[in-house]
Amino acid sequence: MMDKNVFHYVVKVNGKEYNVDIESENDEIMVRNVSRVHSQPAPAPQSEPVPATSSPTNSQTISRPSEKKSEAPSGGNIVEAPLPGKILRINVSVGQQVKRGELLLVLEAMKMENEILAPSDGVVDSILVTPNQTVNTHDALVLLK
Amino acid sequence: MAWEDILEEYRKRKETILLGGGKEKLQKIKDSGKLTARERINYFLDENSFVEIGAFVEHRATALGMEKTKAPSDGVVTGFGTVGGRLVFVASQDFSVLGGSVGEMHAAKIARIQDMALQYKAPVIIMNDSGGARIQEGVDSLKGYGDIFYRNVKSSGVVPQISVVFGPCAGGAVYSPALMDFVFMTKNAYMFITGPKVVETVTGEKVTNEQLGGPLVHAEKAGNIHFVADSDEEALDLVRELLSYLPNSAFEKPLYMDPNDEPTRLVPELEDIIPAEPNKAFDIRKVINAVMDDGRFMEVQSDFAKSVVTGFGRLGGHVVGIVANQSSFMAGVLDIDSSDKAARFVRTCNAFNIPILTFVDTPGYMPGTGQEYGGIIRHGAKLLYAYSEAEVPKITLIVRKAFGGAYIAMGSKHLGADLVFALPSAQVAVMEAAGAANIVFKKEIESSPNPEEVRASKISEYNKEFMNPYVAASRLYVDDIVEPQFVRIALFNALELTLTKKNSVGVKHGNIPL
Repeated sequence: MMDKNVFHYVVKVNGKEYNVDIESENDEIMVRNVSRVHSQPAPAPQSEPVPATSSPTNSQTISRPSEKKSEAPSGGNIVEAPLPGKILRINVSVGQQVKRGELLLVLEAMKMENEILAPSDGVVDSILVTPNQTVNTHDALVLLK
Repeated sequence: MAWEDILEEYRKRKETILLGGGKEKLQKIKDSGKLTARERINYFLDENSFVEIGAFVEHRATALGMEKTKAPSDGVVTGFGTVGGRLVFVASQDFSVLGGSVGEMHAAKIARIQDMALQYKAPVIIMNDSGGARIQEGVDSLKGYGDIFYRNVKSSGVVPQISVVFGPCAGGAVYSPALMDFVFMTKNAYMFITGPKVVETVTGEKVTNEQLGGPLVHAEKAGNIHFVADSDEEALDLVRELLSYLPNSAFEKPLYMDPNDEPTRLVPELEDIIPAEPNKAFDIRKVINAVMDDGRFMEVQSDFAKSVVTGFGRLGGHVVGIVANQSSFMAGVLDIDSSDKAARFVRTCNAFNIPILTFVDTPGYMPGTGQEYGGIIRHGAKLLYAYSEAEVPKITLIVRKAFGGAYIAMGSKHLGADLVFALPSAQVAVMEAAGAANIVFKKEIESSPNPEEVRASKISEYNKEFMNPYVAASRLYVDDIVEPQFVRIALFNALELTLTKKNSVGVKHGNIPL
């Protein structure tokens, strides 16, 4: 008998939040979708008041670029896109054991085939992109366990 | 009174000083796998070369119970000695003495060796292991920090300044390392402006010392440091190695070492390392290793802004500083961090009379809101500034891509490069073919009944005409196009020539952190 459930979670890894949809089917659990939660920009710290003469455009939305934010050291298992581009090919499959530095997939960006390598040893838990898919910086590509 | 009594008094005092915070505390440091302040100096310097200065210094604080507190050497061991026979000045904070805290006299001792280093034109190495300001000494402690920072800046670009962080380094203390030319950290060290407790109180964020300011954070994300070491010994070995690439001051050239490796050695392996297809990434460090003497290359900031590689090596015995785009990381783009990293490195080389060798393979500056909002214009400008400003020999090899503003920035002829070479695989152009064709032939493509066909043919036309080194060479922007196997010879000959150009040694500029 089919017993299929979909659960939605918000998972926090390295201080970043991700929407994760998990599907369970006959004792099997599969990750269906992982996407980055793009949180509201933090309000300006009180010690740096916005000058009264500031332009009508909301200067607070122009925050520092996300890649400059300091975060906890790696240890998370979501491999993100380092730059925007197109997935050219995927070199691993779900369940595969990978070593740190092993090729996971190739991301074509800036006219270059950028090799996305495993940041740590692990097992490929799910692959969140397909060839020809366009991705943005920080989009989740592969989930390692 | 007899000599015996005089000497007994002296030896008793000296023994107390050498024991720092006492046997127990020293043992605790050793048990944690670290070296003590004095062991670090002895390990680092040539045997029996250390001459101590200020061993008998005492603090003169009286507030908050300090009148009863003894602090041998006031918590820092200072003096001079040699490394490989060359003079250096050292200060080593002693964590066993009041947590290595910085009081008035402690700071005065460090300032003293900073002054001496300037006077005798030799590198300063400061070994940090300190809980921070000595609160009991109040503003005198702050004055002490200020004195050190001031001398860091006045020495900048005059003598090499190297900081090694072995333990805690928090609050104002972080700014002395930050002002220096090279910062090393061990796995046991951490650095931050405010510690986890204050962070939690102010922002509610919970972090550990390591997460907030451990060596990996600074090496990979913040870019505050240049080298990470597993142990105290490894850190000091690395400092000795780094010193072998640096002159003692801006008034000297770096040390020439007779090479075992023939400058005329061919490097046909470059054809295997560098893919002929411009869209295939490779590790530029393999090219650097192949070209340098004995395959040796000491990478600086290897974990930060990895789309550009910086470091030192020797070519035919002469020290060179290398700046290279790394296509295997972010396609080798110049972004905010890699521009800052390369610009600071170029200025470090210029300050210390080190010729700059540039390997170019970059698609350009990184586009997007993240970069633009972060100020890529301002940060990218630093690289143009640094290359233009540098008077040392500047030799450039265009390996593959050299596009647009990034072509200009990466040691082009136009910013004063002495000699520019290109491999036959080089592409010197305003931009890559598809983008260029879409703009230049926009009307033709759109008005055609077969736009895709026209587009493809225009792209291939552009590729054929412009994506090569020949246009630039025809204008003398590239001096010569060389086969990969002759790269080492070409670069060596260029270096021998340009080392004779009129670039007098002496102070050129400070080395402001960028």
